[in-house]
Amino acid sequence: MRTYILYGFGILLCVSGVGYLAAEYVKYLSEPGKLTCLTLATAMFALLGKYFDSRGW
Amino acid sequence: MAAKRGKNLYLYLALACFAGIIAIFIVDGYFGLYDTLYVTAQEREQVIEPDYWQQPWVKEQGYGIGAEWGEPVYFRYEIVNRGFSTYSASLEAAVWKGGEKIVHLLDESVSLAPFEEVTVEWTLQAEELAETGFGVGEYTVQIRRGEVERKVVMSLYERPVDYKEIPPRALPR
Repeated sequence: MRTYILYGFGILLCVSGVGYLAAEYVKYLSEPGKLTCLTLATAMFALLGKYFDSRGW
Repeated sequence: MAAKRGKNLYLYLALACFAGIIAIFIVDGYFGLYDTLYVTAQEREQVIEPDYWQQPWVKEQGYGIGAEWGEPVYFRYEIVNRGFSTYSASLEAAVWKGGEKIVHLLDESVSLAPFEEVTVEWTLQAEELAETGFGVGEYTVQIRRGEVERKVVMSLYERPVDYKEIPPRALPR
């Protein structure tokens, strides 16, 4: 149980770190660049979901 | 085999999207309008890169430089248009003190074709400041390019006193 808590804590830190860096970099992007990035990120998560779904997860 | 490839297709597409995001960061960083300011004072050239202007403290307070009173300060302002349309704007540079414009340095319009760059130079002489009745102290050089404003805070100080070198005395024997 303690291991899973540590895993969860690590994942949370990773996600928050990546989120912070992405927010910092996105500040300097142009408006069309931000929109394209958002579209691609949405598509990426959707495709990853489909991939895991096809693997039976 | 074909079924496995079909399953992996989603993964490959997701990776392609990720590569696309990275590519946008690189391409978006390249395209745009960039300005670099070179300030030469006391035989030293300081470069204020385009990224530096984006820092919040530079936006508010300006970039600080020091120079000796009496020596000229050389400015070189470089504008690069990495875009597909022509960029035109008025370019103005002036020295401000206490919220008042005291010396006019430059006033011209620039027009840059796509992927072209232009460099504008001007010099600030201490005599110009002395004519306005000001002496050593802090001044703000404001560069206005269209809607964009760049600030350089200049500290002008007097030459330090030269101390005479005293030869060491011979020790008594």
